[in-house]
Amino acid sequence: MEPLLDVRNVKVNYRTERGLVHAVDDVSFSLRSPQNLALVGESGCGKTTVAKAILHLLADNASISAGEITFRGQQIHNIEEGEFDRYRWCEISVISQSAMNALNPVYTVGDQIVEAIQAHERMGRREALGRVRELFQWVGLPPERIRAYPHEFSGGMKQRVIIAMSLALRPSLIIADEPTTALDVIMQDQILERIVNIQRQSSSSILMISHDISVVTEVCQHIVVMYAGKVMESCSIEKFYQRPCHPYSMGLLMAFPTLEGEAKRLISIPGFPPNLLEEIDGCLFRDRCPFQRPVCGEIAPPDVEIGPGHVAKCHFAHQADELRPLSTKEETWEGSVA
Amino acid sequence: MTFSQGVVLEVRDLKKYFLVRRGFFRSLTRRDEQQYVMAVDGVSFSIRAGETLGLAGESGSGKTTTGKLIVHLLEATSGTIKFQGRESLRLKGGELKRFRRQVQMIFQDPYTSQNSRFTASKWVEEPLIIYGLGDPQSRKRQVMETLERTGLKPASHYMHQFPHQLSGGQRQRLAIARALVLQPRCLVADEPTSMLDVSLRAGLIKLIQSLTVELGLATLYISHDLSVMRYLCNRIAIMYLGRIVEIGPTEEILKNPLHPYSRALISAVPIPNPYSGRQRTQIPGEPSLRDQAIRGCRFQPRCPVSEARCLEDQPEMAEVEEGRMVACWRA
Repeated sequence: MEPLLDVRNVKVNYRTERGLVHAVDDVSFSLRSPQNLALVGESGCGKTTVAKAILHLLADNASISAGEITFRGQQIHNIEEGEFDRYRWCEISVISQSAMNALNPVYTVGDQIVEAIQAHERMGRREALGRVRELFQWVGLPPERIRAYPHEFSGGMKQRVIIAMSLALRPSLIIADEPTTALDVIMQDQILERIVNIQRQSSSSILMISHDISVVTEVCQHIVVMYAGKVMESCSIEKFYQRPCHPYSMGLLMAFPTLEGEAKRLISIPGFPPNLLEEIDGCLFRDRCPFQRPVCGEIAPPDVEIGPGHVAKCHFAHQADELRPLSTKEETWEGSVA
Repeated sequence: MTFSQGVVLEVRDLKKYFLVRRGFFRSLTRRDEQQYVMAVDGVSFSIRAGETLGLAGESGSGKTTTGKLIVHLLEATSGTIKFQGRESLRLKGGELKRFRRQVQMIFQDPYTSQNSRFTASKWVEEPLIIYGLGDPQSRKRQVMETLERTGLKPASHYMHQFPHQLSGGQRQRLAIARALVLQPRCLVADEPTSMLDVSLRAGLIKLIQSLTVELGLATLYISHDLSVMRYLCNRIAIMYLGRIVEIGPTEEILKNPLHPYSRALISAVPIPNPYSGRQRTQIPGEPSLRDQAIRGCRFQPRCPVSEARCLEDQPEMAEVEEGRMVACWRA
């Protein structure tokens, strides 16, 4: 089956005063409907840049220097702006972290959604308002609030308005960039529940971008772990939890606090991500990796296939079963200051 | 009230009301009526030396206001804050200055709370100069020691760095160094890890933990993140609309929450395990400041188990087990 979204060997560079920053370096993944895919990583790993590249929203000093992005088999990364408008909102919509602050304060929220609908579809105002009412029900907002202004909503409710808007044209792909990061935990839980339900009912797929492993675990089926612009590991959520094969994935799982089970010892990964201005030979994670060997500094690790749909960029991915028990020990990770 | 053994900080019935400013026209029509936001409304707790108390709650629960009241960044409306057995709210002049030296705060955002023109050593030395402590040589020694103590090793490397040369985790360590250099007895930490990446968070949690134990600090850790608190705090207090609704030992609260709001808050925390089968929280809506005006329990409008009495009477904190208090009629 043809993937809904296919990102293939994409590179994105930022031109800066100090040189080229390789923010996204040879990133590939594909999202097959009705799957939800998570792009996970820490600040500066390039996950949001990937989303911007898909959406034609890259800053002026950034460009896609290699690779291709296809949507339903059609290339979308090299088409003209006007042509991409066909996809925008109708096929691919966005929920971003701070989108709730992007609502126009002087229009009612209903009018703003109607405007978005009418910009892409021939539809009368009355019909469009009917659609908005339906959307409000979906996201759990009282329909009479259509006539309210953004300042009359709390943060969580504004984020629901944004979700309603992202669904307005029944897109097949929703890109959600940290959709609940700014919200309180109870509101986050309510919104995640809506997102999961809506996605089931509407047969849209979600590309979720987040640093929060626990949030993506509840929404997505597949996870792509990024580090320093590269994909370190790509697999199903279950595999990631049970059999992570990249030392970075192992570290992330051990560093993540959880309320479940007995309180384990948290580890912290020593060191920092590398400077992306420099060309680095070998593995980008090696300086922080407790299992590094001389080869890691010389040869860039290949994508090692561990099983169907499970790839890890590590020379020792096949020995992961031996490394994993060590990765749960605090001593393994002790090193320089994080 | 007697001063219990080892208690460094004791907060009793602390209140902070903010007057709501109204527009000019409304002030003409309803002259006599004044409105308040009861940001903190009768909060009590104590912290012993070497202990970390977690103050948890959603935005608007009053947890940050409570922290600011303790370090005197805000003036309390009423209540008492006893520090080492002495009432601190009415301190003035030199005594207030001594108090401030011993009660330090670290803030949430390490990117905006540091002077970008100060090197690390200058930033950490400044408080010593302000308090007139030591001579340049002893100050330098103290700065180096404190930097190393917070994990900025070797200090000779970090002392010349400017904030922009440091990562978020290192900046937060620098903030802790600045607070510690004055050898405080009490540390108020307001979401110090929330802006850090996961891989660095654990390091900072461990640092705060070990400093608290080794230096015998009384640490108040303010956060909305219960899963982080689990690794750091000996006890947790859960706040809702200006009041503590439940307080007790960390694992007991997390495993067996007694207040319906604690239950909702804990069950809303996502679990990074695809097999966990977590039940989602089932409480509707959001906290509303309007609920502060309720005669009975403030959580009643959202409470799944409320009864007639909850509408009428406000439940007070009551001890249900040793060291475990809950404010709920149904507990």
